[in-house]
Amino acid sequence: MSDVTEFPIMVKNLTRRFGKSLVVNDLSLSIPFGKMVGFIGLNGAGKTTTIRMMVGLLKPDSGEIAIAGYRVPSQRDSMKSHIGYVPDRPNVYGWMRVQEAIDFARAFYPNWNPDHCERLMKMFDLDRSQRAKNLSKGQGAKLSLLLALSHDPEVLILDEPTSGFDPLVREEFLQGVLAATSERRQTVLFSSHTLADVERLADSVAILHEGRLVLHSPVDSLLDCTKRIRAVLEDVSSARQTPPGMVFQQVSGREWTITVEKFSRDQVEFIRSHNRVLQIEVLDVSLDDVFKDIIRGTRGAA
Amino acid sequence: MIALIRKDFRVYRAAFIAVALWLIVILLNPIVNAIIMTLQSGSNDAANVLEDWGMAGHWVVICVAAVFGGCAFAIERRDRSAEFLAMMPISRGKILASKLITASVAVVPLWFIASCMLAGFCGILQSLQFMQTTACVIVLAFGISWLCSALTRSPSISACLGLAGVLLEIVLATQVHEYGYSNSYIMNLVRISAAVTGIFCFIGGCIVFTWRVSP
Repeated sequence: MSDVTEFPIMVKNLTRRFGKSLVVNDLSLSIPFGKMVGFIGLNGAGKTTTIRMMVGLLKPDSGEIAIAGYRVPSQRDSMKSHIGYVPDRPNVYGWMRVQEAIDFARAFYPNWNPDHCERLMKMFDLDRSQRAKNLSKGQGAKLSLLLALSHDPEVLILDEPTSGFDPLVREEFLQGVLAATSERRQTVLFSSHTLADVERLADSVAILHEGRLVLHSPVDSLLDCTKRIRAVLEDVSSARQTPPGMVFQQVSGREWTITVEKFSRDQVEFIRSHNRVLQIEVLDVSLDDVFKDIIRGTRGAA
Repeated sequence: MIALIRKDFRVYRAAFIAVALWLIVILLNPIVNAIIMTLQSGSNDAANVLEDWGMAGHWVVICVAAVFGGCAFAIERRDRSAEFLAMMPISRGKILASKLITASVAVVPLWFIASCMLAGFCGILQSLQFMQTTACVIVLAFGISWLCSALTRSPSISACLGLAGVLLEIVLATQVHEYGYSNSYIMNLVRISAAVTGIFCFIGGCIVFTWRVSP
């Protein structure tokens, strides 16, 4: 693997099985320096398994991983000073008070930034004397984020950190991520089920389905190039000719909806010329729609 | 390293409290009894009491060693705090050293106190063989439970397996005794086999913990 400085997160042909189940299947993903990537997929798509392999908590069956220039798992100990990891469930020692957890972590990071830590403490409004086991889910995640960010890591990896949060706590958490990462050009990978968060935060999105990476694209260009074409059919029973670049199609009564990638007017003309349609219109789509249609399309193709 | 040791003392806190309670029972109870007996009769009864408690103390240390070995890794794996620790830039060698130091702080003084009680009233030479044997059995109990702790997420099962190893050793020694071998031969056999098995299990636990990717 090369281009370590250009791509602080590099994964190549990563595969992992649990028994007979293939959870991550030949996954390759490179994230450029300073970019924030949303990692999305259905439950069981392999997101957490991939992330756990990236941070050295799980051994891959095959494939290569390089995080911040270190091979994982062989150089995982050297890598740890350079990454911040927020797990899906906080795992700080329950008996530790917030201040104790900070003191404990500080002892092991040579580049611990106390000023940054203090800023985050104020931003997250954490009670120093509270034990980790008594923190709410949101506060526990904020503590994990604080510990992950206070040593100024080059790479930040967040595994569904906001799942189960109420909207207010989620907003505070995301603000924290944005504020912390925007001033320090960090490379961020975060998995989430909340696509609105991904749309808001991420530069690009990686969609994982059944262990395979089905799409990795900048969010803006994905939303610009993916469109939904809605056509009203003259005759429902006649065979339909789908345009090139179709991701997913659905027929409901006389309404035919087609989601296409790399949208161009030619696709509209194709539909018009090859099918008997009464009316046709092109609609913008949200990331939520794109995700659902890509997954449905992948399922349909399979 | 100090932060790690402090953390391990806190992780082992319940076991340390149990050790402290045992220590009070082992030390205070016989000493008070011995003083009362000496004051009342001035006989050798006091020495006998201390000797009995010294021997009992050794068996307690074996249990304590199994508990500390069993708690080594499993207790943190069970509550997922092992993952928190695994994400810190700490070498696994340091984590192992910290756990060993913490367990030694509990086991070694306890064994020393029990040995002093025994030696003080039976004489060093008379109690030396027993002390050596219990030291080897402590290594066995600790080693097996340490290895099991590196493999499972249950501290209690790991500790029980350590004690089961000790029981198996006793059963095997009894079987050998039935073949008519001398007591000193059997004691040597017990000592060597317990120490070797314990050390191998301990090394095995260290290797498992160091090499496994998942904490």
